[in-house]
Amino acid sequence: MKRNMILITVLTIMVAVTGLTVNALAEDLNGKEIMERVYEREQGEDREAEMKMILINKFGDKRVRELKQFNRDFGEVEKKIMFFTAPQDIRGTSFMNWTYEDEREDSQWIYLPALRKIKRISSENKSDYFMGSDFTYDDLGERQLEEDTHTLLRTENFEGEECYVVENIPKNDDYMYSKTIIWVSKDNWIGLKKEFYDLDGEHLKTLRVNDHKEIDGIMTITESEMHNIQKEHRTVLELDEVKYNTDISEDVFTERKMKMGI
Amino acid sequence: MKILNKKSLVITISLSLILVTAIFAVNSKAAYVSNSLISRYVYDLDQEDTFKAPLIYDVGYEKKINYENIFGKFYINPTFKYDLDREKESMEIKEGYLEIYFSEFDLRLGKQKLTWGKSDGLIVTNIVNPRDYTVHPVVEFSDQMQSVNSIKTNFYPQNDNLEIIFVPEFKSAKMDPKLLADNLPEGFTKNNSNKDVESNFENSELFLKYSSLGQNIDYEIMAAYHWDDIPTLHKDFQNKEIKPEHHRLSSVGGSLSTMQGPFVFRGEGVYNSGKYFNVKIAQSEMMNYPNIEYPEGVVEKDEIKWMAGVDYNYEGYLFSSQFMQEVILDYNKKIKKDEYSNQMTFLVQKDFLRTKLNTEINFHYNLSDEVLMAKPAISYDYSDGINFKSGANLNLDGESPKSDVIYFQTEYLF
Repeated sequence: MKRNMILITVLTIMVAVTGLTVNALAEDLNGKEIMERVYEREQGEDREAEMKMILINKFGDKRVRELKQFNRDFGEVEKKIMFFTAPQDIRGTSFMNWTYEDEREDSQWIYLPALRKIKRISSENKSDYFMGSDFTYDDLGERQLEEDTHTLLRTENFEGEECYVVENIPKNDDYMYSKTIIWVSKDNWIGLKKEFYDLDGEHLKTLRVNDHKEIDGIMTITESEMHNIQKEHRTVLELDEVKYNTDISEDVFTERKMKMGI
Repeated sequence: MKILNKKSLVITISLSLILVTAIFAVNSKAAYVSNSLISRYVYDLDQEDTFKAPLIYDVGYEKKINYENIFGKFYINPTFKYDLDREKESMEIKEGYLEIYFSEFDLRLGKQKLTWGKSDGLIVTNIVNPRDYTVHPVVEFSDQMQSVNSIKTNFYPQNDNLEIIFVPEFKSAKMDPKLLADNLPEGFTKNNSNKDVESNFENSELFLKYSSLGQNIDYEIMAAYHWDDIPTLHKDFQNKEIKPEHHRLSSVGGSLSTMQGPFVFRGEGVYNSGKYFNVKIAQSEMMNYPNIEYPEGVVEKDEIKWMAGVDYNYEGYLFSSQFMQEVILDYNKKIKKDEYSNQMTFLVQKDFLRTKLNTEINFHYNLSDEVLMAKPAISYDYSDGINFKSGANLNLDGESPKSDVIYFQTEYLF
């Protein structure tokens, strides 16, 4: 009995000490280390999902775009393909993007069913808005850790979750934002809120995560909202039917599939 | 009374089709039906009392096939058109085909439209579908392409694409009859006895294309044994007749596109062998007719067509420019057409209001004929189902055979 008590006491102390140590380590993280964890968060080898993009103007009028998205990391290149399914005037349009691990620019193509043609498009203008939404191509793409200088501003509670607040300043002066500030959950390394500042330093947009849940063991943002503060319009992005690690074939990211659709 | 009956017939067919397609759509989750109703008003600025007001009802019915491991698609796109000005109706199946997907290849049979090459609007290697030159103004790009009955097979070696198209029956480009009538030499009449190409295996067409999308460059390589879509005008001096006649062409070519920063560069070229051209015959030569060099007023030569283009995107504006040249090889000064024929296009496009408002202006300059055309267009998506569009086709310089027009249209998608 006495031995058991000693064992429980030792275990309790160990757990407490471990917890304190982890907490202390976490508190000691700098901005870059925090963002490293955000970037390295488990994303799965591949993912497919149905996406709904709701465009809301300042009067509250809504336009809905529906699409199905597949993406897979092949190591040196990450491939993504999107098929637009609604509304009718853009149905059949597909968009494919290949992002390279090295410094090469992305390769992008669009299939326009009215022209029956796949066109290569420039990926240089990442500040263009995607399909009339409040998300730029860059907002939807993968940014590299080394592209910004990261500074931990503070820790604070955001909507019931303990968060690190990190400021990211781009190293390239030509980047479309002068800075971003992100609220990173200490619990799961998800960015729950992100503020974007324009080149004049004015608050331009705010991205908020409305819903996230674990799917196939991976923490997934299932609803987010980008609010353009300056123009007073919003875009809600909803993910549904999310599946990870289904071994998406390389055949999906091809000319054949772009024309064939889903 | 007769007109009323025709109107009733069009309305009955249209309503029946809506009903049938709606029932299909409800009963089959795998079917997709798209309906579009367009009311267009076209006003001729050159002949002020002339206008066209077509009402167009377009249905797209798409049914996915998934039957005992056979995957495919059935697609049909009928269009009904009713001209309010002339009280005349017409019906056309724009496309209708069955497509089967196998693991290594696809097969598509039926009436279809296909686009080849990297140029926009200019014809270099995009030769599978003959054009309809009677369409004026061209509001939708695909309206000027005629569909062809064909068998298309695609193989996918290493995710590239080898496309083989067999067209059993040749289809000519649809020419504006007024254009030929205006250009008939004095005293000559038209005789269409040689115009038709007999439908048999020997007269079929074959098109091959290998295409690849790569990290740095996309390319297509093509070859075709086909007919010249546009007939050559042979002269029968004895009977004072113009006899349009199609000729066989053998073509090889290719196209490519690549991105460099904000620019996308495009190139395309084709070598056509067996093309016929009209020649000038001096009055003095006619004294020796028929012992003259070109008794039918035509000569066979090879030609090269090439195009270079660049797209540039800046602050949401798309600037696109193309230059195309046609070169007649082994040129003979008697040929009516210039040895070098040059064309240029320049396009500016911009979306506003989160893509609700789309604007563009497209210039086309034929340097050889010195004809400059401008095609401005503006469209507004009032909602996902209602779109307003307006545009014009204006001849800014030189003499174009097409009249200046302005159009307005409302489209309802459901």
